[in-house]
Amino acid sequence: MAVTNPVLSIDELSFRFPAPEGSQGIHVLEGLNLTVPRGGVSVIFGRADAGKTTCARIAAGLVPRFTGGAIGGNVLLDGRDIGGVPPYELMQCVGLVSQDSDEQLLTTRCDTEVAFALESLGVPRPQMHERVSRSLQQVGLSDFASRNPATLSGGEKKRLLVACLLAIRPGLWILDEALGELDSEWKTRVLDIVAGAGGTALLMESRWSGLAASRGTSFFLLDEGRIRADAKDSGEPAFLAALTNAGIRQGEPRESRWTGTEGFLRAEGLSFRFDGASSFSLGIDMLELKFGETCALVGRNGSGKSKLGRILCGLLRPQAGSIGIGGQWGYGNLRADELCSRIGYLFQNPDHQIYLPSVREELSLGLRREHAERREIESRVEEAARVFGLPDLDAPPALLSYGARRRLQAATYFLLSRDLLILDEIDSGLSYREVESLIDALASRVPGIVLITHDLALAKAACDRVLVMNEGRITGDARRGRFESVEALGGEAVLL
Amino acid sequence: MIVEFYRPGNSALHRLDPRPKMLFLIVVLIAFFLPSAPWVLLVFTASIVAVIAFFLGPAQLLPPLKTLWPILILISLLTAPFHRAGLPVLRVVDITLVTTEGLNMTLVLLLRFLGITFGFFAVVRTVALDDMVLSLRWFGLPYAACLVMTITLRTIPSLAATWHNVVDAHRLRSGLDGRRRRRRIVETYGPVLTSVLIEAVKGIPALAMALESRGFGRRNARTSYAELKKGRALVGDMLVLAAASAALLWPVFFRW
Repeated sequence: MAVTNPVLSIDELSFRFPAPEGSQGIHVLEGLNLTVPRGGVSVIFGRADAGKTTCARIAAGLVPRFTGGAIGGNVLLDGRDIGGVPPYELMQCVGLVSQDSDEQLLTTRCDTEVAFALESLGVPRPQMHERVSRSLQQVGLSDFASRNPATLSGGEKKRLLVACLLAIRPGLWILDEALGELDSEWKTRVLDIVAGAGGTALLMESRWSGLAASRGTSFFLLDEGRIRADAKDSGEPAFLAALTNAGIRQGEPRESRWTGTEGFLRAEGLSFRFDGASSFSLGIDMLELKFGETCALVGRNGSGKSKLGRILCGLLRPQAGSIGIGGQWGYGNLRADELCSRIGYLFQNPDHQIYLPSVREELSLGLRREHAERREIESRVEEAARVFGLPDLDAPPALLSYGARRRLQAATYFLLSRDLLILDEIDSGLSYREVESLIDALASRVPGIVLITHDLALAKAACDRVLVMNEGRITGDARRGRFESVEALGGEAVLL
Repeated sequence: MIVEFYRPGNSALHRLDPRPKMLFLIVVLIAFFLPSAPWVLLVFTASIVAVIAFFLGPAQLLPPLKTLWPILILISLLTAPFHRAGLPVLRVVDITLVTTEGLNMTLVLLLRFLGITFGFFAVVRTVALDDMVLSLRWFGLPYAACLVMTITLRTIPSLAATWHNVVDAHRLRSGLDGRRRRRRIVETYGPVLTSVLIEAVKGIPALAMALESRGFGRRNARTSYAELKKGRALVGDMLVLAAASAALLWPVFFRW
């Protein structure tokens, strides 16, 4: 695309992370050419590990400064070559909101979080107070000024980080999978805020969305370290086809996974409330999850999806209610320990669930604890590695890419005998194809799957049933073929 | 502890400037470590407890007690047998287990421990971390050192959360019954700790990125968002706490 006066211009950019001695390392970016026009909303689509985050961090001056590695090519920000320029000199030109909010939060109050960059710039106190207050107000966090950011929900943390950028108004706002935890109203408002501040929004997205289509002004597909396709119009057929081929956009609706397996999990009269001042309460009169079906649990931030998931697998103890598993064996209530051994739970952050020195040890841990034979362990570990695309069994999990860590996390449960698996926002940062292939692989071994997600489109496409949660209650329930009724049942709760 | 214990509020204790409150803590330490009679320490402790109960509410006395009770029990059980002077109070056969001196020392240690803890609690409950850091800067601590302190205190709860997550992950993977699982958890503390440490180490570059993205490292003079009291307001608070300090230290002058 020929663009005059671009905000960001990248020319033949290549980057390779430092590799262990004796190996070459993999090029994350290679021959990347990209021109982001000034103003509007540019969207870079790419599956996990396509190089989006690395590209964003290079544009913000953070890579290779903090990671090491070999970089080549030119990056021009507002026409200025930023090679070797430290991030603190670029903070008024470019701001980054990353996928993991916790790694960007620094202080113990929301107002001081917003003020941190202003203090660095030496802004006088009265002006600083005015800018902090206005920024918090614009992201709807005026009442949270003295709150500890660690106590905010995922969506609120994202809004706080947007307020941090709003206070200094950089020219380029890079939102790296940052909109995922926001409901649709706030996704739109964040883009309005960027436009109102006179900035250019650069979104890094792993999945096509209606918001990107309606608000985007230029589109790119990043794959294997370079731009494979671009478009100025979201409806351009060639670009849409490229996205579909890459698994970023959903293709044909998939077949139901429903296998008709006997068995179900039933929760009755569940009630949960935190000790202390929190007003949140969870109340489930009756929930039955049939094995053999893939069920989605959707709802706004703080609606209680993860709490319900943790209760079902025995990690949280409800104040009242019972959970049992039935089918061929009848129905009986289970203790927390029994729930843990029959219901699996994949955390939002894969790093909290993989902790051993090698992929092989990680995969074999559960089998060893089930006292499997050595040969059986080896063959099943190799099978899981093949199914989940984990070629190097001796690699340290901590050094794998995000997508590979996610696959490893899923593979550990592929090898365990569980009746039901709860996948808590495992779709974050993954393309449609990546999520669906993970679910397919798991569903081939585990009778029941529950996918907790914010993406209603993904839920409808990948699941046989959609449950909607709102304020700790299940307010909508529909099966494949009747998904349009989810909106009717869920009301505002489906505005995800 | 500081991050966890602070509760925003508008009590008289909250309104006092953090700088004299921090100086007052030093006075509390001195007062409790002076060789005073137990009844003097009892008066000090009771005064601090009364101040907390009056300004923050009696329920606020529970959090420190919940943390301390195992240590208080240990002090009660283990101090007396090691102080043999004085008259016997408790004898079993021909062995003296507790003497008047032993009881005296137990009481002194319990009151010191309680008094100092409640004194610290009254301050950390009513001073936000940012105000504490700002006060330390006012006392001359360099900005970088204060920032390290803030980030360290902010990181501890997040590491604790990671620890709980990893322990949960072990529970979910092991799938064992209660008794066996508890034994296995002991065996797996090593991997849990390793995982938490890896998370912490991986977080270091992310933290450095966040700091520099927000301007840490710039050469221009840094301004401050928060402001401490000045002029009469500060002098007033100083006087209030100077009077309280004098009240705590009077036994020194009167050799009680």
